This record gives sequence, C-alpha cells and structure tokens, in this order.
Amino acid sequence: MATSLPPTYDRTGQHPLSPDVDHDETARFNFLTNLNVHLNQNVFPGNRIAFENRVSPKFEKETGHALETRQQVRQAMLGDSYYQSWAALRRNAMEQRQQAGRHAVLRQLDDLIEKAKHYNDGKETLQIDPNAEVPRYLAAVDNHCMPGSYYTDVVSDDVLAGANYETGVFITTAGSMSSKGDGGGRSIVNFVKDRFPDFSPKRILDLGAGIGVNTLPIAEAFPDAEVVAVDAGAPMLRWGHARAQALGYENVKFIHADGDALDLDPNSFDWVQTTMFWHETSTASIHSMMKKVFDLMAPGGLFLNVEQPNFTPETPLYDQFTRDWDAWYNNEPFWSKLHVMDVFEVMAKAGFDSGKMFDGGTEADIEQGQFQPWSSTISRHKAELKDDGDSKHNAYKGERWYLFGGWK
Amino acid sequence: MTEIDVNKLANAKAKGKRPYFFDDPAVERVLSITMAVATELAVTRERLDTVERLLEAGEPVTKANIDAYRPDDDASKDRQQWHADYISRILRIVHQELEAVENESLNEDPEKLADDFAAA
Amino acid sequence: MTETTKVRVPQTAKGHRPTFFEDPTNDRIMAMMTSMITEMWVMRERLDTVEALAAKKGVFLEEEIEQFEPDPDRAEERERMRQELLSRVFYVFQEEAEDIARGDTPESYEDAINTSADR
Repeated sequence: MATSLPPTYDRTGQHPLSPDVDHDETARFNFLTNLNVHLNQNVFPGNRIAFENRVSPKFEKETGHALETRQQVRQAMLGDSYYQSWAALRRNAMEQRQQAGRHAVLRQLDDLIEKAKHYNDGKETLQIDPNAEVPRYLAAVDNHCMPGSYYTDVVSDDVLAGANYETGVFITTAGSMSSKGDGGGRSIVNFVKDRFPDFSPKRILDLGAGIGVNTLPIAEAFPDAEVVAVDAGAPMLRWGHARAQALGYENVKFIHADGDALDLDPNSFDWVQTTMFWHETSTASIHSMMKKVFDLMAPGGLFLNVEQPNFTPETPLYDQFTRDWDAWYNNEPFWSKLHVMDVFEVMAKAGFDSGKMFDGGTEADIEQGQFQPWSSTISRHKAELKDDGDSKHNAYKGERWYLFGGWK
Repeated sequence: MTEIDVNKLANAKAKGKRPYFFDDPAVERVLSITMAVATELAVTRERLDTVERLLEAGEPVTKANIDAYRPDDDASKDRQQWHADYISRILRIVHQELEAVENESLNEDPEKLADDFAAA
Repeated sequence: MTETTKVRVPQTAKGHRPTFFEDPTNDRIMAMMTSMITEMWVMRERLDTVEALAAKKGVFLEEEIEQFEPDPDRAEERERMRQELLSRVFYVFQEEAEDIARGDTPESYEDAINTSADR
C-alpha cells in the first residue's frame, strides 16, 4: 500500500511576518515531514505486533501472569529492540525538527524582531509583563522538546519561540492542522456554531493561547466580540500579536500572564476557551486555574476545552501505553497523570453544575488538497462520551477533536 | 546586530533528560548521526532536482533562482514521493524485521532447517 | 475493474535474517548506512549525467568545475555551510554535553512526572 504524501512546505500559508525559508531549509522540512509520516504509518504499527507476538508472551512466561498496568507495559517494551529503534528514531525526528526550525529562524532573528516590533510597538493590544512568573509546570522541563520552551527570551524583544513554533507545526503534524496551522480553532468554531447556533459571545478569553493560532478563527467567526488571548510565554505573544495584526485581526488582545495570576474582571467573559492546554499544566494549577476561569465567566457563559480524551476502563493497556508516550519521551510529563483524571470532577470543584457539563467530538477542519488529519500523530484513540445524543458532533471515533465543557 | 551563536542555539537541548533507548549509548549516538546524514542527503537530492527543473525550463541556475523556485502541483508530488520512497529504502531493515515479528514462518533458522533436511 | 484481493507483497525473504553484532541495533544501523551509500552513488551518477548532458549542449561543466575557483564571498559562504552541516549532523553530542552540564538524569525526569500532580 502506498503511503499518502504530505504537501510540500511551500504550500503553507504565508503572511507578512513569515520567515524567509530558503531552498535547502524547505527541502529539510519536506524530508522531516515525510519521516514523521513514515515512522507513524509504517514503523509505529510494528510496536503493537512486537507487543502481541513477543513482549507480552515473554512477560507472561517470565512472571507467570499477564501484564496488568501501562507502567508494566512501558518497562517491558523498553527491552524490545524493535521498539527501541522506533522510539529512538521518533525522538531523533523531533530533535531534528527543532534544530531545522530554530536554525531557519535564528539566522534571521534580528529581521524578524524588527518586523514584529513594527506591528507591536505602541499597541495597547499587546501587554507584556516583564515581572510575570514562569509557572513551575513550564519550568521543570522544556515542553515538546522545544529548547527554552515557550517562555525563554534569547535576546530582548525575542520572537524565536513563536516563530519556531509556527514554522514547525507543519513538520510535526504533516500539514494536518491546515495550511495556516489553524485547523484546531476552525474545528472549535464549527462545533460551537453547529451545537449552539444562538450563542453570540461579546467577550471571549482564550487561555494558554500560545501564538493565537487557534484564537484567530474564533475572532474571525465572532468579529464583533472582544477577544483576549493569554499565555505565559512572552516570545509566543510578541510573535502572535504581530502575526494577528499583520493578518488584519484587530479585535484580539494578547496578555502575558500565568493563568493563576490573571487580573481580569470577574463575571465578564461569555466564552472561555482552552485548547490542548491542560496536559501542559499540573493538578494543582489546573484546579486553581479552573476556579479562576469559573470566576471570570459571565453567568450563562460557556467554557470549552479541546484535549485528548482520557482513559476509560475499556481502553486497552497497549493503547494507554502508546498515548502516554509523549509524557515520557516528548517532555509533556503531566499528560500521563491527566489521562486518568476525572476532568468533570475538576470542573465541579471549580463551581460548575454537573447538569450543565457536556462533551463531544468534531471533525478536523482543513482545506481540500491538504494532508489528511492524524496521519503523523500517534494519538489515535476512541473515547467514551458523556453525552451520547444524536448530534453528529457526538460520534467520537478517534479521528476527530475531542471537546468537553460546561455552562455557568 | 545581536551577537548570537546560531548553530549552538539551534542545537540547544530541551530541558528534561534525553531518553536513551538502547543499552549502549554509543548506539544511540550513531543512529542519531546516521539519521542526520540521511536528512542531508535528501536535501541535496531535492536541490539537484531543482537544478534539473531550472535547466529544463531554460532558467539560469543561480542561487537566487534555486531559492525562489516553487514546484507546481505535479513537481511537488513527485518530490514528496521521492522522499517517501527514499525513507522506505533507508529504513528497509526495520520493515523486514517487522515482517519477521509478524510472521514467524519467515524466521526459520537455517541451522535447524539443515538438520531437518538432513534427517529427511 | 474486478474486486482486488488483498495480496501480501513480501518485502522479506523467508528464512531467518542473521544478525552479526551482539546488539541487533548495530545490524540495523549498518543496513541503513549501506542503503545510504547506494543513494549517494545514485545521486553522484545523476550529477554526472547532468554534466554530460550539458557538455552535449556545448557547456563543458566538468572542465569548468575542475578549474573553478570560488571568489572570497563564496569561499566564506562554503565555510559557513560546512560548519552548519557538521553542527546538524553531530547535534547529539551537544545535547549530551548540555544534559551533563545541567545534571538532567533519568531520575530527575521521573521525578518531574511524579511530582507534576503536586505543582
């Protein structure tokens, strides 16, 4: 069977701020994108075969009982030479992706900073707090193996983290986030418009927004709303704000803060969004941040989160082990804990009424001709849904975004 | 102009222990270098493809033209297909091993077979 | 078109593949290297064809290449490219050195996971 081909990097959406990516850098991105796709489509499936035919029988023979926990599966798999090779290749592919993206940005960093300043200087829509504290959950390890994570300033007015993030999303996801990388945000809009057609928010908060790649489709869908994007990483926000301005989004304000320390008016937001954010935090901070979120929400307001669905008692051990991979080897440590947390209990403790909570799935929204979603990621999975109604958004089959949320 | 060491910063290590999957860390290093060389070879091959396409179109082969070159849909697909095929060739050994793990009958030990044949 | 039946196209010759090193990973890396040497030659031969075709059109690339002397700018550019190539290919050593310098260990990572619930 032929492997499906991802689009070449030159097909990605460009804007006035986009780094100049020369011929060989483009070729390197193209190769690494293919390598990710290949490792996932052709090499990764072998881990399951090695698990079933070799690792699991060996464990049973040695211990006299079957594997019982995902931690046992991980330890047993670490001794298998096929798995070792896949894991080392995947780790290498991720490191090369960081190297390639960072090098392309670093060699023109001065230019990019100047361009960003052109859009940022003197604008009230960008608020950088030089005294903002880096939350401990970000400081412990550099998430996604990004050297310096989201928050490090290499030079003053730095934009490296943001520009590297935007450039590299294409490689890591093989274009499955759409040409502008905003497929997640567009899917959120589709979900909300379809499921809550009368919902018309006036103030929207996107917490942990990064460069705002998923915030802009929301701002576009509700052009009269005031949109606030918050993140703990200053170089992400400098890049994100300049990018938003360059693309003509003037209704989005970017604020630099740790979610816990957010100084905004209580009861003022009709919609608080978090996208693929919980797994990069910690138990203590997600509890306190959700209390903060509930406090900021206007009565009748919506909270919505996009995240990988959690394990259920039915999730096979091997799948649990696989979905924990990034926690152990791609510097996203909290994911392993979040996978077994009751997210609705977190919401209930923050003040949400359990009768007003829901979850669902939505199709990935990407343009025709782009690569199909998920083919470069290992997070394919099924989930048990809380609400199993008739809406097409309820049928979650793994190859979709999973969302959960609640009303105040 | 800010003075930064681009190569060093580009290579910087993310905070958090790097996992070593093989028993011998030297193996991890050699694999890492091998994959980096594989990337470089692919990059050079894509460059040569661009040179050929410029020549074919009668364009001067200058650095500016090479950097400005944008493949049309067919060329874009051809080039991605080349990468995909190339990776399959480089990682052939991993796939062969997978087939052998999947299907034990592919894995007959020649020594045992020789004994079987001699006995028959 | 008739319905296609699923046929398994073998990639692997039946019969155990011998591994020659104590660690089978070394056999794998050796196989990858061998494939790359093949690729390298294919590309080298392709470049030779480009030169030959150019010669047919009266552009004697082969000779010009031999006589070519880069001007100072290009020579400097090439030096930069060489440095960058080496830096990309050997990045893993820098990673290791930084790990040692920062004191990151498998235990410290395990600790980061186990305490992620408390922070």
